Amino acid sequence: MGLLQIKDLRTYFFTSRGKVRAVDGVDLSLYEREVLAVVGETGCGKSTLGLSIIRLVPYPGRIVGGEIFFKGKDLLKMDESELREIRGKEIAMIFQNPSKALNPVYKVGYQIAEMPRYHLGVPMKRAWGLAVDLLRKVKIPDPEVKASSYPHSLSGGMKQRSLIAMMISLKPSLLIADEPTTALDVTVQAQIMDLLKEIREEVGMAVMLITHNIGLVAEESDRVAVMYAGKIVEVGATPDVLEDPLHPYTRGLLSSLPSRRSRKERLPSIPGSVPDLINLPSGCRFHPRCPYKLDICDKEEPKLSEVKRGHLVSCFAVG
Amino acid sequence: MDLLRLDDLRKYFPVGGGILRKPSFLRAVDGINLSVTRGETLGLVGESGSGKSTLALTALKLYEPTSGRIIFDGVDVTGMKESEFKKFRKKLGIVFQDPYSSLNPRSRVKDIIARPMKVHGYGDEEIDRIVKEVIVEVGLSIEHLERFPHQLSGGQQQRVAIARAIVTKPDLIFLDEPTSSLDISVQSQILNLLLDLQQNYRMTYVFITHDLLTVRHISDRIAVMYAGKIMELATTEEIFYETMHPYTATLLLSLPVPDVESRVQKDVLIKKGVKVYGEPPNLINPPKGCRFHPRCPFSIDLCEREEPELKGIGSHLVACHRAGEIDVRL
Repeated sequence: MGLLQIKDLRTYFFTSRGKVRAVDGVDLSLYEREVLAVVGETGCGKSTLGLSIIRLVPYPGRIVGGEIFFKGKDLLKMDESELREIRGKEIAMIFQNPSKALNPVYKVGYQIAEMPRYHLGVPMKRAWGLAVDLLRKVKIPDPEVKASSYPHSLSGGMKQRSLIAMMISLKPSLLIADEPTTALDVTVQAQIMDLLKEIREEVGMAVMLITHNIGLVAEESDRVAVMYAGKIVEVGATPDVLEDPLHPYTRGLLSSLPSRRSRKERLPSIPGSVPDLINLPSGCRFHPRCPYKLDICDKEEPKLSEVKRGHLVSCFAVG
Repeated sequence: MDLLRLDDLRKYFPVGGGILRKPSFLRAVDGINLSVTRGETLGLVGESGSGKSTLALTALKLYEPTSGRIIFDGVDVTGMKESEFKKFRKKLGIVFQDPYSSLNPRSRVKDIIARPMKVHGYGDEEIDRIVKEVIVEVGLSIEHLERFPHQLSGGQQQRVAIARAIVTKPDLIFLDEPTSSLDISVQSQILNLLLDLQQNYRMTYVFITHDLLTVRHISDRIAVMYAGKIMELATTEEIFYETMHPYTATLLLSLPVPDVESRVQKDVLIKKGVKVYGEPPNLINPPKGCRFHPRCPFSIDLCEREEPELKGIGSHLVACHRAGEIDVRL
């Protein structure tokens, strides 16, 4: 039994232009203590998937169907008070832009201390002490001083560290990390990823790492799910998917990465661009860009099915 | 002969200060010596705040340099008046990271592309002909000419920005993170386009990026910048596989790589003592001595006192007191 089981999840945005099917029938499981990477390009629905799990889809979006079982209970059937017990305590989330996630008018220590105060009823003085300990744990220099400072005086890397401190304060069993290092410099990114690894092992939490960076997927994840236009097109153990990609989209994506051998040569590239999520192509959503298109591909939608052990693909041309 | 030469170029920005208070200076570009050879692609790599974009804008005289000299095609253009410099502008182009904010939202694509030619006094018929040629050349079609930027995807917008940069057939184009805001599948399309255009027009590129994989793909030579200075300058092969500066090694160790082979190589760096810690410095009060010393695992007393010069044997230049003595190769 997995920690998290998503079944036929659908999250749509009802805009004036029409219905944006950001997540459109996603099936996905996440096991305890594993790192699952969700990789895809802009607008593939990967962030909406993360927000759907903690039920924070912004207006005009709405979860219109499916089930999300977390430790056996359907998150989609919970009311707001039950969800509050889950968010932060059981499932935590960090975002791409740490500045937006911190309140600019409260001290960093105060914002971290809110977690044990709110969820566990710890008195302020002790909660502040916990906040300082957490800042030390995420390797912020002078944690006592930094706890009393406001977010604007911290660098991007330090802000992301503070948010990680906040998110791990209650030892959640799942951390959803949505592009946690995209806004950071590469040397800072490396340090944040190392920190996350260390903390994950200590706390024993699972991580859903939402990213577009294939390098991060390769280095950080146990399994990877590839998303395209609101659907998961391939999922499997990370080395299997990266070394033997089966879906034409995954293949195209991986072969378009510059490598040492590709120097100064034209890169293979996927023709066209990502489809509009309001007017999706019929059948398989990738068919207009697919070099292996069959007759059936624009008529029927392929299902995600197991091709090799633990390696699932949704493509008529495979298997 | 060098197409562009920068001699001890500096650009300082005043910060703070008031009527009675002297401002401090943010030293974004702090003594850069660099030559760009005709026909090459020079990669300029660095983290945010390393001064790489400021260097481009200063070299193009879009910022007035604080000191130093800019020599374009053998002519010192540093103090030149804008009216006189105009004929050189025609030979220079720039493409920015965010295509949407670099295109006028109220102009149609055809007017955006025509604009540099209008400025440089091309005739209407010629403009019309070139616009139609160039739009196809960048992989779009005649229909796109009537559209507004918001009606195009990010990749298409970047193609328009590239079209605008090449209409006057410039010798040198600065590409400031041209693929950073694009998705992977679109990135490769734009990189291919840039390679094709370079071949067709024999253009020279200065390719600015923080992405080491892209810069390795496209560059002949690479300059690694840190805190307003060049730390290492060499051929692409040398930067990646004959690395001499600890900062370059730190970048290589930090870079998440998709393939197993490169990941194994990272262990080599760790064994050699390369470590990643700290954050890029504040450019108002950069560290004394070598700017990288607080983050350098190989730092010695000398590094804290004296600033190393960029020097070397042949084409491989490095600014490190311990260059040659330490081994930080992959």
